[in-house]
Amino acid sequence: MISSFLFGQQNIKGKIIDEYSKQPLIGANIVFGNSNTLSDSIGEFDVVALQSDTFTISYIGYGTKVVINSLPYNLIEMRSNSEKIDEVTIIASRINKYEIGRQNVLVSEINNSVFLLGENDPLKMLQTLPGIKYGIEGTSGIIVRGGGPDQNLYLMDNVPVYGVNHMFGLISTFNTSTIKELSIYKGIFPARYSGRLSSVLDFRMDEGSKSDYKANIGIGILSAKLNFNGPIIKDKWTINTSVRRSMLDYTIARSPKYYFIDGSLKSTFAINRNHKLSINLYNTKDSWVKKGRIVGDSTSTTSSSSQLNWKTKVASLSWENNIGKLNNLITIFNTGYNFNTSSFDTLNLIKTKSSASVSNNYTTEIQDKGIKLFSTYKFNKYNVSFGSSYISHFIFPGESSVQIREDRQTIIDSLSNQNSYSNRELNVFLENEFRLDNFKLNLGINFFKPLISNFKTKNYLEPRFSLEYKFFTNTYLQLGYSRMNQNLHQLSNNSLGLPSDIWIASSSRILPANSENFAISFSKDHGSYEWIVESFFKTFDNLMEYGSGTSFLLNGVDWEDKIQTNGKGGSKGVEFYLRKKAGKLSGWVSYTVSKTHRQFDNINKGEKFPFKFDRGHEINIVGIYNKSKKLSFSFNWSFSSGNKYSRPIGYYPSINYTGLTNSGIGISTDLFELPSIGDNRQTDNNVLPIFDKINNASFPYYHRLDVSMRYKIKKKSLTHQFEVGAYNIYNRHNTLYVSYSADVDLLSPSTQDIIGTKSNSKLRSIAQFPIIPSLSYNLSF
Amino acid sequence: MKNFVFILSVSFLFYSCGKELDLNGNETFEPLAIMNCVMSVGEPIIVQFVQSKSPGDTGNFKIIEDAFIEINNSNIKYLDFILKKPKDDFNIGYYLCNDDLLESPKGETFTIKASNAKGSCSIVANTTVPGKPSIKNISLVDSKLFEYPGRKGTYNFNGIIEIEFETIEPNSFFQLEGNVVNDTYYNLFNVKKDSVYFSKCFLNFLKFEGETFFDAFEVKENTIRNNKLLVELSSIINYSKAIPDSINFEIRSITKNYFEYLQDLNKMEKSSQDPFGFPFIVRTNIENGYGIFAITNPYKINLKI
Repeated sequence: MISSFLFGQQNIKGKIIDEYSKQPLIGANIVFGNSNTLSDSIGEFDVVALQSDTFTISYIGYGTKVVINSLPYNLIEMRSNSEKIDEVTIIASRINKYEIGRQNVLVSEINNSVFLLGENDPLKMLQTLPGIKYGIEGTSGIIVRGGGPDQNLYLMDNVPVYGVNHMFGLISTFNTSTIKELSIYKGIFPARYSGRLSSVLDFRMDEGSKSDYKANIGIGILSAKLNFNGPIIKDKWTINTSVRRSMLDYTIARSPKYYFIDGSLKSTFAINRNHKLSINLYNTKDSWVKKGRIVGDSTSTTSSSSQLNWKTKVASLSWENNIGKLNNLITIFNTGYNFNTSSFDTLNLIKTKSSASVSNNYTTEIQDKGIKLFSTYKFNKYNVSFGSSYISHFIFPGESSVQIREDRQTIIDSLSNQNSYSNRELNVFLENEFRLDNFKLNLGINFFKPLISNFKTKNYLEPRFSLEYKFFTNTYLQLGYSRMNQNLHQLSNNSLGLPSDIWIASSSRILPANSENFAISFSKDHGSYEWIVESFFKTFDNLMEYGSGTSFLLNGVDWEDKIQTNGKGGSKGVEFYLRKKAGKLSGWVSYTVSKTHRQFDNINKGEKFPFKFDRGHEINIVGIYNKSKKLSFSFNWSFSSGNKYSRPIGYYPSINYTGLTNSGIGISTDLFELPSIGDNRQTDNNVLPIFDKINNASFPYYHRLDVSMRYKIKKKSLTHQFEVGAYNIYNRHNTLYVSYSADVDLLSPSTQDIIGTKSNSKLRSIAQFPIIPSLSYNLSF
Repeated sequence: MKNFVFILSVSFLFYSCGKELDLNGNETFEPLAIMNCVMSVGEPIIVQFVQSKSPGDTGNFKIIEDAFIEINNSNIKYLDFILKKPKDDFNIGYYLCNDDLLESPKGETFTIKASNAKGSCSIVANTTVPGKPSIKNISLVDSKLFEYPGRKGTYNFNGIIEIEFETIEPNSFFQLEGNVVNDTYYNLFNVKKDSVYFSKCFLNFLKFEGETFFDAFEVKENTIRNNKLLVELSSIINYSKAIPDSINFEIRSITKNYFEYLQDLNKMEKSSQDPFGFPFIVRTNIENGYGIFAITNPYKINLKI
């Protein structure tokens, strides 16, 4: 302290808030002298600076602000770029300084981008960033540096979210009107995060304005949505609530009827300057119902109906408080996901007035209850974070029931029930960030302990490390390492992350999966544009696969018996990112070159094989052009290598188990002049494909261009926005999957000599997304 | 607005229709040797020996003619297979072993060797004779046969086949099959109108792993205890010609590789329904080729309804 005064230094504190909503801005970049720091979880900073220093503050989605250091405590208000959109030219925007493995996304950029059917989707926005890929075209699932869709942790105000898909994965459940900010960690993780191998998506929900009421109404081809936010008690108690519902059951088809709905509510009450309570509720539901039409004649009628439902529920209560320099956030929560499918078939005999019915039902569910404590403490050049979490998972892998009734009497009533079980996990972490001249070091450790009934589990330590070196102004070399463990897994036939995939937790037979991540990056910010080059290397261990040919209807067999375990994998690559942040034209170019593989003892003869989504090259060019105050254009061009698939090298006949006995069905023995006692099993063949290797071929190159135009009219306090767009505007045939049916025509009369001849056969490439227009209207006031 | 119209106009110049793509390239196809032979104790030996064919080839599998086939163990040698050609194109060729029946005690290991006339392709495989099922008693209990309401001349059949074993050895693999005699059942797989085949069940006694066919056939897992197995038949079957009077029932001991092969066929069938899933690779025990070489040991019985 004495030396500080000797050199004219003093402690300078401050808080950075949104000018409009008065909400704190977390992680804003504060540059002073030759140093910089970030605002903490309540938007505050505390540094030692020279009296003559000026502070340059920048924040993602906000302009840059210069503040003269004059007060021991400064309340700094920042103006959002979204408020300045009418000024035609977005000045701005430096964003938080790049941190290795972390990418921030502007909500305003999500709203200005082009999406399938015009539905703003944060996850699809992420798919345009380096190292982050889509899985199957059109779906929201993300593949981060070779990880699977279940290796991404979705956090909504610190609470895990399990079901993130609407419309069987075509759009995500995240509604941009409730999101304040989104960060994705895709490789190097601070110690505070744990639980998934490949990424953490940290959604911070908007508390709503503290000063004014605000509403937004939108309607598009796909859905209608409403958002309302504002103060219940000015500057003290806010509410932000949204609801969105699809319109397809009204606009396109009433049967089968499909709809989704999601709603959220966040309310924050500031007890005083040091204590704040927040409640967050979030529900989503998808429902697909096909009602049976009664068909038949004068003697009998039949009908058949079926339905699919999946739901996500999140509820949390958090208490944030400051005790001196110590900031604490305590969150208790309940979160879960449920999937159900059922069918009902009936037969009615009119004359006898008798009836028969068959009903099937299947349900799977995961429910979490937990508590999290997160604290930060700052002193001198140290920024220490620590905390813990305790989560109890209730896992219900599946229950399948079949009931057959005749004339109201139950003939068969079978229930195949996978035992539900609990799994608890404890996490404790400690993280410290400190600066020394041009170096910044973040060291952390996360202690993870799965708790499984009647089974002694080991302790897992996850070291985290990142080092930054500043060469010149805004020019950084960074490197990092992190180890991650994953206690929860999704049983999937196809790695797509479909709603029907089953969440399960580690058990006495299934150990947590783990990954090790290494990365090094070089970045420079030139003010109006920036570029980043980052290289990563990653290994996976203890992976599991559901295995092919395994039904999610678990048929009375333990799920643990149906999966392939002890899988290994690896991914490596280089990512390039160039971003233009200012001017009428803004946007970015991303390019990723990577290679990913998997290895399981019982798949591909135990040999390594390429990951299904191992697309070697991936380029995205995203542009937003603000032509005038009213008119803006956006485009997105994507190009990539094709997904991998398994191409058969031939076909061969099998023995058909339906033709085993000479008296059984199949082919009559007489037909082939076999002895009457002969076994005809050799004569009734199916056709089997021969695969020498898994994922041995690639789809053709993928590319498409999406465009959109926005036109905005502002009248008094009302703002109207019309949007017209098109997905895949040049209608590229992009292969979604390959059809290689084994139904070879055995009845063909010709017998051909095929030795040594060229194969002129064609596998069919199936594409599902031709040019798709979109139209939407938004009203805000 | 002019800009937007321009962009749209230019974009439509790139318009292309969806199309079928040739994903095979111009690779030369090399056929592989395929051998299928599942022998049963007390039954003739039939071997299918053909070439694989290229993807999309709609022709028949080409028979490997003039092949040399030999099946032997330490005591017995089966030779002189006669090529039996199919009567029409529906069937696929096979070799029949001169009316010899397979006779061999439990535990004998057989080797099959097959090669084409030029000797340019040859395959080898081994399999071991499983023991005959040690059945103490098989009976049909709680059987019900009644006319279907409102459908004169058609009947429903329900019943339970109770199988009691003398002993069940570890790592025993079985397959169940049977047919209701005199039944005419219309299903896609049935081309013979004298009986219904109700089985696609194979099971390992240590833990039930098999899968049943249709909803006509159910193995109650909980009852595979105390050397007793209950097979519940609960089919709704139409009998339009004659009233069924009995069930032909078989329980076969099968080799482990045949058990796995049958399971794999099931899994492959399911995996083919998911275009995004892994293809399932059916295991083979044929060296230098594909197919299956296995032995079953049947126990047959006719049960009166």
